[in-house]
Amino acid sequence: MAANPYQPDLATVEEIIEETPDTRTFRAVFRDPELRESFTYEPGQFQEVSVFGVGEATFCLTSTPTRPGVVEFSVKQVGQVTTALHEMSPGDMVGIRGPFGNWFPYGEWKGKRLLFIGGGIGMAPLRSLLNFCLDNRADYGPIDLIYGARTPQDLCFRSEFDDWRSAPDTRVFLTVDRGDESWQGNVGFVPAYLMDLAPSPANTIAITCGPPIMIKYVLESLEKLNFAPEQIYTTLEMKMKCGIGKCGRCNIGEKFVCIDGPVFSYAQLKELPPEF
Amino acid sequence: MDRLLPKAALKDWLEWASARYHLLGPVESEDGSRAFAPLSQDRLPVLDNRRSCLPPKEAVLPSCETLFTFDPGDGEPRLLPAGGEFAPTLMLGMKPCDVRSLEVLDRVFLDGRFQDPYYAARRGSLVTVAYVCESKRWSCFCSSVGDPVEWSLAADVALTDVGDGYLASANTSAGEELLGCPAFREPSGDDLARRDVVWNALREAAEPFDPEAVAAAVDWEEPAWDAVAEKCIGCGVCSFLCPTCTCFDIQDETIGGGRVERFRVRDTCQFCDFTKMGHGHNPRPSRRERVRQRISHKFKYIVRQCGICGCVGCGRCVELCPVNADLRGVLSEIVKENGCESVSA
Repeated sequence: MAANPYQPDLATVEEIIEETPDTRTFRAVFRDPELRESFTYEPGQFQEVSVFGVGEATFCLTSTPTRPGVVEFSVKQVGQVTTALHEMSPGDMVGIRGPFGNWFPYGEWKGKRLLFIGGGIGMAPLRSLLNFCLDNRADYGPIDLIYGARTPQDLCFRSEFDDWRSAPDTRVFLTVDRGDESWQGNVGFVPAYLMDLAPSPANTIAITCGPPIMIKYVLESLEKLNFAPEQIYTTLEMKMKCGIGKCGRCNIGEKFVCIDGPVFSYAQLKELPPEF
Repeated sequence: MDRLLPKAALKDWLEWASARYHLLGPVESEDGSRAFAPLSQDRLPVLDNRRSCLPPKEAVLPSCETLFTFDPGDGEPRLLPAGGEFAPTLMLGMKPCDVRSLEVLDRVFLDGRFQDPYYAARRGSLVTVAYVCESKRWSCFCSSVGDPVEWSLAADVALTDVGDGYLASANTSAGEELLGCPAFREPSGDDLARRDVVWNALREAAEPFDPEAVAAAVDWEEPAWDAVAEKCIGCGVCSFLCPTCTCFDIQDETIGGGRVERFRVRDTCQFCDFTKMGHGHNPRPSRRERVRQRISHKFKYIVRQCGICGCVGCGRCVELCPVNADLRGVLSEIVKENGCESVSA
């Protein structure tokens, strides 16, 4: 990262993957060949992406540092910067600042079972960690992914489902709120599907991200399944500008999501005021 | 190191100092409003007990500041840096609360995992001269949140009015250099005694304040939030005039030739879209949550984050709130509700 944390590095968008009708994944490479080599990050960290003349927005890194050279971020079209990104074509330029924030404490999870629970675009940060763990497969126990979206067309990263399913000791459980004629998987909300599957909390870490309402009910469901708060991790979203704890925007109580987070255990979340 | 500056020699000292420093000090404009502005032989600082309307933070955290310029070039885009070196600046006539506010800003912008390079460059160029107040305005409550004499001694030089002259106490090597000007003379025992009278008066007025006790008293649910939110019109003047409020937005402006200026501009947690996210969710949707954020941040969160109380008791928010939401009353209410007696505001 540049010595000035407000100054982005220039990068070229190499490829844009249409994930869903409103979400695209951008694969970008830094213009500076040295930075392309040296840039690294941790699963769970985020970056600030610039479209010069429009502004900056915060996106988690959805790629894994085990596959260097390219940084990936998934963008749901909701506002000005995200719309400008969606109007881009391969070859266009963006600015990237980061990586910022903390990351999933995967080093403490060696030998444990991992349970990923994602909803919609909330799969983006989980995908970084999931691919990181699959690239270090021997370090972890069985891996289960429960992933849901509104409709089959709203599931992101579909091109990777087969890779995930075929990884050793790895299972993928998909669910949608509304199926269609071709849908073979489960129909129902993520927290309900989680209760149906009733995974054991024994030697397991659960990692969840999705819409705030989904996270809320997933946390409750995990507690019903006897997961301790220390076994549950999530990653939070708040409006951010600087990413470095100065602009005063993303705090929850005394914690800044940009520097103390975005990754929090449920035990840590319970210590914070109920702002999220 | 203590020296005496006869009042008539203030001009000589400033002329001497102007060879080394760009001079800033409180001056009054024609409409009677007061702000820190460049000084000259014809424009001397006003040294009295009245604080400036705008706080001194403008000198270290301008309300609008370019971060860099994006230049698309000729197929070779690049970022042109902004900021850089700043001329050594002497800021005169800072009230004790003004001096303390720089300490708070320093903790936010210089400490922690990231240092803010723009603030650091401006702050590094600044030498400060305090003016110790002899009495308080009706809206001042510095002595409820700390020791204003001690705060003044964090400035490079602290001036105290002792009648015919200013007793100047240098607290740093930069301050000692400033007192090397021939306009100063050795103070008499009477001068020192008079200074101590002013200091002691200010100290005697001080009501001890334990930031941790108030931090403990401020709860997530307070009846006070409803009371303030009912009056508050969300204008944000309390933050814009607050010497320690630091929140900013970052925006882009296209300035021609395809060039884009990225700048930061003052913002406030009191505005409704401050935390509103792109997809519409807003964790602080009403004034109640926004009032809670500002007061809790000043008296609780920043104490835990930076080890310093975020309020310096300058009273600008008290004096200029259009609906008279007096922070002192709010704090008294909170402390009373929680059965804590350590603060009287």
